[in-house]
Amino acid sequence: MKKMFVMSLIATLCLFSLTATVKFADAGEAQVIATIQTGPEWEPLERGEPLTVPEVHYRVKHSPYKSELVRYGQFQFNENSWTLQGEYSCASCHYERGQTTGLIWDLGDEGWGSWKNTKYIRGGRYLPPFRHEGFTGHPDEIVGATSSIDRVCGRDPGFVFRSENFSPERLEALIAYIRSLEFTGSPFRNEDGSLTAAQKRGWKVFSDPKVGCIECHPGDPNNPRALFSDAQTHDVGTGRVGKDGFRTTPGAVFNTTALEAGVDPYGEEYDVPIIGLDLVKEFDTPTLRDIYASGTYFHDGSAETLMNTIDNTCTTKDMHGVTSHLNNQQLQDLVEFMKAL
Amino acid sequence: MKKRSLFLSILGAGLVSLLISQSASAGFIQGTRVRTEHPSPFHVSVSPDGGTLFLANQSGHSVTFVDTRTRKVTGEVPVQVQPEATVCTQDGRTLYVCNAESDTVSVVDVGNKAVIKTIKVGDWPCSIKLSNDGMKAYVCCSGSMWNSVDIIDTAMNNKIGEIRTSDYGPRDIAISPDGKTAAVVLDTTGKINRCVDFIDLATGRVTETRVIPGSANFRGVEYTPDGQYVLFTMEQPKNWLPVCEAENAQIFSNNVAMVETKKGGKVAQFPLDELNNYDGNPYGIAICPEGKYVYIGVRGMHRVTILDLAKMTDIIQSSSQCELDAMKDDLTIMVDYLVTRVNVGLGPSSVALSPDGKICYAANYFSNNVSVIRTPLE
Repeated sequence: MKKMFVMSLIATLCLFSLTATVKFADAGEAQVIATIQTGPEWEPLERGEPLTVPEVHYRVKHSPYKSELVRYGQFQFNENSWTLQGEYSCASCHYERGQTTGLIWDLGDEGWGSWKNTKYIRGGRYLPPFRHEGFTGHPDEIVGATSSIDRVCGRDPGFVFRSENFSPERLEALIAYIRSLEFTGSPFRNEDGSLTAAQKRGWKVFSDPKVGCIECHPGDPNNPRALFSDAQTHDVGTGRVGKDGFRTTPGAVFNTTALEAGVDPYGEEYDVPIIGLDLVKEFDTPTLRDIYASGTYFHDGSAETLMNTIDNTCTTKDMHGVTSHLNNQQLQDLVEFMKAL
Repeated sequence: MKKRSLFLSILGAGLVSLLISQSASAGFIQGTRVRTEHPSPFHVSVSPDGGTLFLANQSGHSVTFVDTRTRKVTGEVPVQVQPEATVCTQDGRTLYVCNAESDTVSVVDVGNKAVIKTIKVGDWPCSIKLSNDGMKAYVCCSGSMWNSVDIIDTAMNNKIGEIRTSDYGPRDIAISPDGKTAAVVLDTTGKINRCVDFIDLATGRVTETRVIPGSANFRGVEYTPDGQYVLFTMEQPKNWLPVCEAENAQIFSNNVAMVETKKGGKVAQFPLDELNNYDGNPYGIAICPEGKYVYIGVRGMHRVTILDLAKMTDIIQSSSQCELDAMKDDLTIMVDYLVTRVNVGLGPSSVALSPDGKICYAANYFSNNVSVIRTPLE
């Protein structure tokens, strides 16, 4: 009897101490204690078990699988584990609305020292190819979105991600998402979608052959499918090539404080002494749809505002439209018109 | 005959409820016209009594109600396109929902779970907060060329005015504990030095604009309970360097800015990154009512990072502005104020705390769920 009492006492003490240990160990420790599912459960595919290419092609083409593929692409677009240490995702520059932070970057793919403005990628599928120069450097550029993304993220992710290649399947999903992004539409029109008085005046200037905007940016503001781009490359006086083109401040958004602080981003460490050099003078004509949301402007972000694109402050005089004869009101009307697209 | 009527009524009711439930969860993947059944909760807020969670479903175009006691979904209300934020009145009866793509705010009767009014506001409303007396709601209209915080009269549910911010893209707003001032973070496209505006709510004027050097992607902002600081999530793009070395935060680093609210006060950008362990794409932020801990939803790395606010305050008080500027790229100091990182579901875009600060909720965008986190206060 006594033995039994001792045994139960030991057992009770053991149980108590175990419980107490668990309690004390947990005290003050943050942890997930529950998960409330408010929609369908969803997990991305495991890295080791990607879809096969035929499966992906089937999914791209056939609803309802397309929806799942696009969502999978959206997930990857926002996922940081693709970078070496989780530093950033696609959405860091083309932030989560698929737009742009409007900052310029030197990706090095056209040679170091050639800053390029972060592209606004909504509606991008309508106007391949996508690089500012109008080429991708790959023979498969004819496939549009694939070539650009393939080059930056797929074949040589070293440019941006410094990590493993995207598998063809994941790349396909990413492309499916990016190709699905639509223009947002302008918030600056009248509520019924018509142009305001200032926008109508701007349209008149825009379509004036003497000014020439519509020559490279053809389109009708009443046609929701109009893209306002001829999909060609042109020299509009923005390319800085050769001896006279070297600049110390490449682009209005360039962080000059780095230089002022004595940091030389292109010193001996990188063995590329020149900054602010373009390899070509002609650049792809961008669409004017959603132009209000895609600032800054020009291939190098040198125009901070829409006004700067037409007031000859960032371009060689009268090369980006013949605008030097326009008065301030006409220039302002042009800006209002562009905001309506 | 009676049986037949009853059967038809039940069938009709069933069909109606099916239609309602379908309309509540039908939506599009954000930015596209691709239909999806995934609601994608982007934002979570808590009712003042702590009893209900409100989840703004960005793709589902709806708000989901969750009972925090039973941890069950209690309803879903369809709103307009792409809801991105909600706020509940102090009496718990009314919920305001920002519909970003529709440029509207839905007014929801919480009891009846129904939209009672829709208010037109400026471009891309993505954040909303109530004044301390509950009489006004302030809506950040964050369009790329838009610079207004629209004011809604909560008695009449009408837009009664707007505050002009100093630049485009007001992304989030926090009201000071005394209710006199608002801090609005401006995520202005194309700017490398983005700003935070301090606004006198009595006059509706910007009293100070504080520049955050080398900054982008501002997300959530909160005041500390003593009103001495505002904290907001941000990223530092290092775009003056060639993109050839991502290591050691040479392309992007992720930070939480801590700004003294006194005029001309210090600005600190505390790194959220450690060497080889980065908090990529920090989004939502919450500060516990006692001012001990800061909670940050790290959307790109699927975790909630918890920081020790007292230690951060010590650092900012004991450092000169010069020292704080040097600190923002130092990936060795995060351990000094890191409490812990808690892995949650996929894509935690928003965090919110229970009124007592003992529970933190994270809305997981891709997992379609909410992680319930026991905080260190518990």
